[in-house]
Amino acid sequence: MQALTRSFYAKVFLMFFASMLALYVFNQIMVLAVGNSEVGQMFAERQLAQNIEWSKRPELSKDDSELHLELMQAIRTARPQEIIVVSHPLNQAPAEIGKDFLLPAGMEPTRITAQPAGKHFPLITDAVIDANGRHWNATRLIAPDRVVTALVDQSVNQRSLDEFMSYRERMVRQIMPLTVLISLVCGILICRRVLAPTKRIQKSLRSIDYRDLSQRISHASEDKEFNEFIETINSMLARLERGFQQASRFSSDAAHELRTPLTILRGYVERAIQQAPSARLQVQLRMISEEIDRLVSITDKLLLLAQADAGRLSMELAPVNVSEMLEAMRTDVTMLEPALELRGNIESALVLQTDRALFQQMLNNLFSNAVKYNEDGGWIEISAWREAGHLKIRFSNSGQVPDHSFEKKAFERFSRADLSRSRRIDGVGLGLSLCKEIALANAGTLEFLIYDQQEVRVEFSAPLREPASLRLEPAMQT
Amino acid sequence: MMNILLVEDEERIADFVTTGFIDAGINIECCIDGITGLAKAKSSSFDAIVLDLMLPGMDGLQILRNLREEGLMTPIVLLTAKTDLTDRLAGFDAGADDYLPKPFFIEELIVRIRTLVERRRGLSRPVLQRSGLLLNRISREASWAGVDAVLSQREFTLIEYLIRSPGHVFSRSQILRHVWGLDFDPKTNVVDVCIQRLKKKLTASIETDSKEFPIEAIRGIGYRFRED
Repeated sequence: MQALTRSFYAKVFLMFFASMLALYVFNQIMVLAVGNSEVGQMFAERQLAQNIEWSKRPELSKDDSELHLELMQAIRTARPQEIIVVSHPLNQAPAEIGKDFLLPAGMEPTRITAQPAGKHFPLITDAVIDANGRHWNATRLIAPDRVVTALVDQSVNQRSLDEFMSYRERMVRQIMPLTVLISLVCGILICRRVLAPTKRIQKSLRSIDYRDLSQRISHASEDKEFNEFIETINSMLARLERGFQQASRFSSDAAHELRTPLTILRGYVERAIQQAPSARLQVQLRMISEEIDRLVSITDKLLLLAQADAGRLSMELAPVNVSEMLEAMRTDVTMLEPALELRGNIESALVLQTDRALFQQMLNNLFSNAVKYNEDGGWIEISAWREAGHLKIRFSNSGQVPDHSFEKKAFERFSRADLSRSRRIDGVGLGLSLCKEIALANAGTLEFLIYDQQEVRVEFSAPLREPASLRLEPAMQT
Repeated sequence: MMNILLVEDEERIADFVTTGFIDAGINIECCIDGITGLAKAKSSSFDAIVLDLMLPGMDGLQILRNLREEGLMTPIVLLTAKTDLTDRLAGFDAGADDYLPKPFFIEELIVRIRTLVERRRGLSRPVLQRSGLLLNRISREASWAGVDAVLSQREFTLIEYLIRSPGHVFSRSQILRHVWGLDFDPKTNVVDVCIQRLKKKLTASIETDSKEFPIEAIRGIGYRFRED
């Protein structure tokens, strides 16, 4: 039974069988309903009234030859569709009567069947007789004490059969559309049942996020024919997950492992700087120290990216006043690059529920890019505004604009725009991909656009949560 | 004199931390595995304990929980290569007083430990104070030699960065990275401008020699906050 309920084919077969059964039952119900209906009743009554007329004759006490004469007479005078019944006392042994159904000359029995008498039933002899140009069904009932012979014109049966047939045809015509409808519904149900497992599998597959490949498709409720299929998909997912985990754990482990030697390096270099006997040596050591800083910053970014890949970018949510952060940057522009034209406008009191450090890191990255890839006499735009429940931030700048093809590669790791740089620009091409991850962690988007080979624009957008639940931080002067 | 226990399995880190503490005039004992570290922490009395998280034998969190269950309330600073929020929260949950991610500046570790010990001894002040310079983290006010000034966000971050690791020389690019979040050298000397502005704000009304000002320039390198 278990094997049957877990077999897809068995289920489909059972459904098919069940629908056939339903059709049959429906037909039977319809026949019964029609039979019991007014029309059915009328039909039955009319048949009785029109076709059956019993000719009652006085009981005879003659022998068989007299009976024959009587019958012949009855047949000759019989009206159409009349049933002739002749009854007379039994004066022969019952067993012998069945053997020869004696009939007058010209009346040849075409078929004689005899049924042995039961305990309570008389012996019955049936015969078909051609007489008087008509076919007669003759029946003799031989009871213990008498013989009853009945002759029925076959046309009576024929006529009622014809009427019944035509009636049935009418009925079938009425039932047919409904029958087709039921077949259609059954067909659709069977098809849905057939397709249901693939639909479920598709749905489960779609719900699997690439950041959480630990999910598997359950085959607990599936038929055994599909188990193998699901197993195959699951083992593929497992391999994918392993690969993904390895890649993500590799960079996470690498970043962690790098921290210890970096700590030692920094510790010794800083001590050496403090103890350096000459200023020249101090400057040299300072250069080493700065490179260490760079390594630290790269490992930090790698670690964050690995965490984002593993879906573990932890966010310490708090209301962050974005307007203030951006205003500070606008002020910095005037100090850092007074020659740059400052454009854009920042709406006040834009507050986002986010991780302050990560968000600041994203803004810093975007701001740095906009400044360092700029040109003499260029401009920079920093704008932020509220739009349809979203916070929008735009960093836009003139200057060294990468090729259009860079738009697609901008967020790839270690991808850098191929620019002929007029000054040394640090960076390893992790900044933008990290920004993208931070934007995603805020349920937002980050777009990198190049306009007319003259302008690079990066736009951030993230949904603003209910401002009522947020407390504004005290305003900060810059 | 302060007495510190360091539990750190990485010999070289232990070495420069030890040297740094001794230079700062702080007694320090060092254990290189978790089990002896825990035994040491229980048997002797320390002013503070510096715990590495990943240790052979018994990890830092286990030691921390064990000590807190024993009722030992010594201030404990965690050192770790892990910077996940969850790891940090686990550390504070287990009863850590502070948390310093690797790699760190030894000066900052010393300042943090001093602050913790002072707070434990009831010497805690709402303001940061060093070499006569007072910093109020809430009102973002600074005062030095009787002059009060409200600092801008960048100015405050800069002075706080320097004061947290007194004696440590920070290069301009380190300062730029930390205070402005910039990973490149801008054309202008924004760091110098900012420090000049700070100095001007805090020494504006006094004619006395501004050389006394605790932030000093180290030629060719950067700036540092002078120790007492």
